[in-house]
This record gives sequence, C-alpha cells and structure tokens, in this order.
Amino acid sequence: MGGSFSKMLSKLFGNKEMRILMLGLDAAGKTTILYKLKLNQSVTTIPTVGFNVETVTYKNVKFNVWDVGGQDKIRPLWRHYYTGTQGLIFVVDSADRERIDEARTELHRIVSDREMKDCLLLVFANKQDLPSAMTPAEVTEKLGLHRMRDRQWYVHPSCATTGEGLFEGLSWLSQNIKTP
Amino acid sequence: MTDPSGSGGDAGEQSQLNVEYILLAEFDIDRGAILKHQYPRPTGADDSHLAELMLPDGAHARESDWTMFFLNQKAPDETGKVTQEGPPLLYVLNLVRTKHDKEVRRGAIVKAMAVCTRHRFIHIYQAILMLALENYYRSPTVDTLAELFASVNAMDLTCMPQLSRHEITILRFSDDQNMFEERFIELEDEKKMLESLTRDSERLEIAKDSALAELAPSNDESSGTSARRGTVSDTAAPGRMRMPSTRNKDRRFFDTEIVYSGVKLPIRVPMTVYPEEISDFSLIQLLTTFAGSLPTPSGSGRVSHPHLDSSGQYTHPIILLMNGLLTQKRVIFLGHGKPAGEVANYVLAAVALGSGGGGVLRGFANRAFPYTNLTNLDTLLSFPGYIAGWWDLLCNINTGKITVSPALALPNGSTAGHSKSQTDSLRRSLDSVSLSRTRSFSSREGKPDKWNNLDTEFIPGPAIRSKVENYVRRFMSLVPLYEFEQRGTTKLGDPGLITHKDKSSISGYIISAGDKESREREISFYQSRIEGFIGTQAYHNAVTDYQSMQASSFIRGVDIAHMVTCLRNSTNLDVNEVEAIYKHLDEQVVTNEQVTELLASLPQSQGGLHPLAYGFYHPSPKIRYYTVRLFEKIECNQAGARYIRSTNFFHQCAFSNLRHTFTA
Repeated sequence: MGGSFSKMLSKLFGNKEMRILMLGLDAAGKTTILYKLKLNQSVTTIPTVGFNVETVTYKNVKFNVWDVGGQDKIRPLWRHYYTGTQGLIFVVDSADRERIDEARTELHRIVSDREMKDCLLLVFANKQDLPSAMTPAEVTEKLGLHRMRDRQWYVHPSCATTGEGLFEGLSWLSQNIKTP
Repeated sequence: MTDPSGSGGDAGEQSQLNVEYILLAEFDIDRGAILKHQYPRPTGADDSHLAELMLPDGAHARESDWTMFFLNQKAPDETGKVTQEGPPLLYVLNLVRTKHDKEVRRGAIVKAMAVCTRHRFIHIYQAILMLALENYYRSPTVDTLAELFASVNAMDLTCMPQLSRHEITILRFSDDQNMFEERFIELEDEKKMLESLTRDSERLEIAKDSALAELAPSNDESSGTSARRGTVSDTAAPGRMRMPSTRNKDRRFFDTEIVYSGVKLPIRVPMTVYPEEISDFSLIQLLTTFAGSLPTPSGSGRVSHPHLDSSGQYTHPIILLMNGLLTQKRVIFLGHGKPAGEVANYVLAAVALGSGGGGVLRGFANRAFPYTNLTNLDTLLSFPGYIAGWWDLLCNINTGKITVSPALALPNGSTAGHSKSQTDSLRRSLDSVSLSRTRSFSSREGKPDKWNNLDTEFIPGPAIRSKVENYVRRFMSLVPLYEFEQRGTTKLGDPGLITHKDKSSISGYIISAGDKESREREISFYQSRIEGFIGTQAYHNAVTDYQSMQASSFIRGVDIAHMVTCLRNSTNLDVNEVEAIYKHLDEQVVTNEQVTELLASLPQSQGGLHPLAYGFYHPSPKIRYYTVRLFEKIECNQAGARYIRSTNFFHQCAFSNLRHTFTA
C-alpha cells in the first residue's frame, strides 16, 4: 500500500517532492523547526497533540514535513507515519544530557523498522544557543550513529528559534534523495 | 438523613441512566494523551485508546473542538453478521479545550471531557459539557465528574412519551406539531398525581418528623430539608399553573432541563429521531459539499465499478456515495485542517444517507467512526465497510471531491466488461457535451437518480431526509423481487405475495402497478447494486428486522405500503382492483394500532389521507362505503382525527355527507 502511494506521488510530481517525517523526544523543538522553515518566523509552540504537516519548498524540492508529537505515551504511534517516508529528521535537544540515552533508544527503534529501511537520516543537534549544548560530534557519539552501517546519515547543528542550520539540513536531504 | 424524594424508584432506574459514563482525558506534556478519570467506573474500553480519541489530532491548534465516537461497536464474524448480544452501542460526545497559559511549562493545558450515553441525540449535552469542562479546569478532581454525572442523570424524562416506530414516522412527516399531544398530557397528569401523592405523604412524614424533633435537639437540619423541599415545589407550581397554555408547545420536542452548578439549562429532546440518526448533523452540508463535483477516477483508465457507477462514468457523486454505502464499501472522509467536530458531521450524515434518512436500514452506525485517527487503524480494519482509512471511497471535504480507490477490486463474476463497453460508447457519444455538463447526470438508463434537480438551498432538512428515505425504501422494495427472481427465495419479503405479481397487481410488490416492463427495467438498473448489497451488515439486519416486523406488525397478510403506492400512483387500476384494495384495507385495519400503522404509510408531507379520500368520489357505491368505514375507524384514532381535520374541506364534506347517507 505504501509502495503504491509513493509511486503515485512520484508519478504525479516527478521527483521534486519528498516525504519527510520529523521525530524526536518531546520538547526537542520539532514544531518550532517546522514553522521556522515554513514561515521563517519563530513561533511560540505548545505540545503537539497528534501531528502537524506542512509543505516547505526549498531549492525546487517540495518537502512534505510531518511533525509528530513526542511524548512518551504517544511514541508507539510514530510507526503509523512511517509508510512512504523518504527522509527522517530526528531532532535532539542538545542541552538535555539526561535524556540523550532515551533519544538514542528511540532513534534506533525507529530506524530498525522495515518501513524505514531505505530512508535518509538527518539529525538536528538543536538548541545550540544554550550554553550547555552538546556539540554535533558529541551528539553523534551519544546517539551511536557510527554503528549505523547501511544508512546515509548526517548530523547538523541547529538553532530553531533563529533558523540557523535548518536549510543546510534540507540541502543535504535534497542532494541525497534516491531517485527511484 | 431521610430523603424520600430520592428513594423513589432508584433501583429500577439503574438501567435507564441518561449518561452511563463521564470520561476525562488530558494531554500530559511529558507523557502524552492520558485518560485521567472514568466515572462512575471504567467503561471497559482500552484507556490509551479512549485518550487518543478524546484528544484529536491538531487539538493544540484550536481553542476547542468536538469529537464523537461510539463504544461497544461489534466487529462482524466470518459470515459478516454482527451479534446483537452484549452491551449496547454507546454514543460518546467529547469536548476538548486548549488553554494557553504563560505561567505553565510549555504554555498550554489541554483537557477533554466526554459523556457516554445511549441517547442518539447526544447534542443535547453540548452546553453542559462546556460548563463542566470549565469547572474541571478550576477544580480538577473526580468530584467535578461526579457532580456532572448526578446532574445529567437527574434530568427528568419521565414525561417523555415513548413513541412507537409508526408514531415517530407520523410525527416526523406531519405539519401538526401537536400530533401526539394527548400522550404528553397523559404522562404529565400522571406525574402530577404522583407528585401530589408524594407531597401528601411527605407532609405526613414531616409532621411525624417534627413531632419527633420536638423531643430531639437536631431540629435545625430537618427543618432545613423541609424548607428546601418547599422551595422546589414552589418553583414547580407555576409550571403546573401554566398547563393550559403549554398546549401550544411544539411536541416534536420534549422540553426538560438539567440543573448543573445552580444553572438551569433548558434541554430539547427531539421526538422524531430515527434509529440511525445520531446527533444533529446536517445532511444538506454533505450533499452540497460533494454534489458539485464529478467523481475523480484516480488513475486515468479506471474501470467502472458495477456497485458504484450505476450510471457509468457520469454517475452523480452523491449517488456514487450512496451506492458505496449500500454495498458496504470503505468510505473515508478526509478533512485536513478541519475541526474534528466538522468532519464528524459528514460521517454522521453519511450514516443517515446510507440508512435511508436513518430509518430504513440499520447497521451503519455500528461501522461508523465519526472521529478516528491512526491509532485506531487496526480496529477499523476489522470492520468491513467502515465509514470513516484504508478506503474504497475517499471523500475530501476540503475539495468536495470523491475519489474511488484504484485498488478497489471488482466483484467476482461481475459484468464490468460489459458495462465498461456500454459506458465507453456512452462516453464517446457524450464526449462532446460532457464539458458543459455540470449537473445533470441522471436518467440515461431510464431511471431517475433524482439528485441533479436538488436545489438544496431551498429544500429544508426534513424534506431532504424524506427524499433519502424514499430512495432507500424503493431500493429495498426491489431487493426481495430481485432475490426471488434470481434465487427463487428471499428473506426480505413474502414469496407468496411476490409470485402473485402477474395475476393481480394489488397484492404484490410491484412498484409501478401492473407494469411488468417498467419494473423489470428498474430491477436491471439496480441489479449490480443489489448484488453488492446482499450479504452486507445492513442486509443481514434488514432480514432480521423484516422477520421481527412480520411478527410484531399489526396488519397481517397485506402489504399496506404497496397498496398505498398503488392508490397514489396508478391511473390504470380497474374497478375491481380498486375495490379489492379498499376491501382489504377495511378488513385489515380495525384496531387502533392498525390505524396507526396505516397512517405511518401515509405521511402528511406526502398528502396524508389524500390518496384514500379519492374513494369518496368513486362511482362504485361499494368503494364509497368501504372508504367511509375506513375513515370512521381512522377518526377514532387520536392522530387519525388530526389527519382527517387536516385534509381539505371537500374531503371532509364528502366524508360527513356520505356518512349520513350510509347510516340513514
């Protein structure tokens, strides 16, 4: 079913459209990233009930970004959004050292799903403006990304409120999208 | 403390609670959707599932939203049948609110409160739910739920008459809002009597109490309660004084109230609700949203589906939807960015559409999910033909387009190839005009799919519902004929009556009396849809309902609806046939219940007794005689008397003249 859906999409829109799923622990900054990308404004967000979805066009690529709420209880629902995902943006609160292990567990659970087997992985090491933020290298190490052999991944530092680093991340996605 | 007013009939009413459960869910900023309270006890449904349904996607993006869903829906077994046992279907109305608050972490608090009830008219609880949720924000404890539970269950429905199925039909299509006035008054009088009895006995109690109290020091308390009781009866008294004036009330509703936190909320309970009418949805909104667009075949060369495309490529979208509902396709309404409450309206309207205004077929509500999200996907998939997404028909509310799934398989042994070539040639011949065709998609195959003329802005809601009802009724009248012809048997009609069809047109199931050809044309037009309908949940329910109707119906051995249709439509009945009809009616319609049943098939919106009254002017004295006798019996029925009063002056004159002639 998912296959036919994405096939239909690529038929309709060529390859200029990309389905992106944005996940991460609660309060990592997913919704803030989404609306910064969409509106180029820093909006005050409240916890997302369910999901937000927006299209963001950058360098001729139309990104359909699905931003799904990250609380503990609703993480099992993430899998319902996997179908047809071409790129996963995993958002990490770089200042939240306490929960970085929890973030690693969740990330590995997501990418081990069969439906996510071929998708690109972009990690935003977010909240770089905070003094105690971990560096991208530190985040990479803590998330155990080096152990991911068969996947293209990329970690980029970001600050959602100012927008720093966000479009660089999208650039990486658009350059690495697989043409079916 | 002794409280005589509360002790009356408490035990017996346990099973007739207005509201069975109150639920409270909140979106915990650390954990997500949580079901916080269930009062008075757990519903038995999965907690996290309930919480998800109560906190709809996008709740954070709007201040408030409503969702509706049902509890105790039963998935069918392998044979496609749904068991009638087990707990009853409960309707849930849920209000969710997002309150922004800069003081709290992450800036907002999201809470939702729901009532679960057997009442299909769940919208009556909207106002109180708003108040109660507000209260819960102020005092977030289970006591708030308990108070609400007590209030809603104290709502007094004892004076609401229980109308029978036939009576509901009569009232629904009547212009006379006082049709069953007497029934209300009876109950009101009864209640008055009971109240005065309890008052008297209370007075005795109080007298006894105070006599005892003189001996005891705790006098204060008991005088307090008696004083309160006194005020209650005082406020009720003016209501009783107003009794004569209440006779002009609109009796299509039952007026009552809920007292909650010292606020009196007036409640209007609709009296004319059909079994599959839930809440106060707008059918017109469904029709106008989707009537304007051509259905989009997704995938360029979509083959016409015999169940869906009854008029080929150009099937009107509403007919397409109707066909999808009748043949149990999976229908999904997509309302991206719309409030959940708005989407629910479409789903409930679709339930009413498929079930024939809510009154002909049954089983659509059992597979309807007015609000759902992905978490519910597994449940959805266990229901064949759910109405909510993996879909056969996708109704996009934002665009008003209906899309047929390219993956929808054709039924076994279908005539798709045949109808495709048919429609292809049709399309070729119509290609030149198709661009300018926007509204008239019907009638090419001889039978009207009447939606195209529907200028919905000028037709009020009840009229639309009756059109839908008639459409499904006609469909249902063809099913037994078709079944009998194809399979030699049917459980939806009396084969005995069907086989008589060619001999005498009056006792059969023929739609256009005596016209075999038009009947056959009609059946062949509906044939593939009937095939698709057979075996659905609604079909199985219809079989059950037909059998129980046969067992409980007051008029036996004749098909009243058919006879009325004959009288209404046919110009080519001969004298003997007309005489036979009136004779049958006169013989079969004797008791009060039988008259009510007859009246139900003569809705006032379709002229009421008009078709019968023609008998007054028939040249045959026998027919005139039967007609008078029939009208005399109708006159003895309370609703019947109102029917006669509302017929035109000439019919009334004819009735009284002939009556004198015959009695003389």
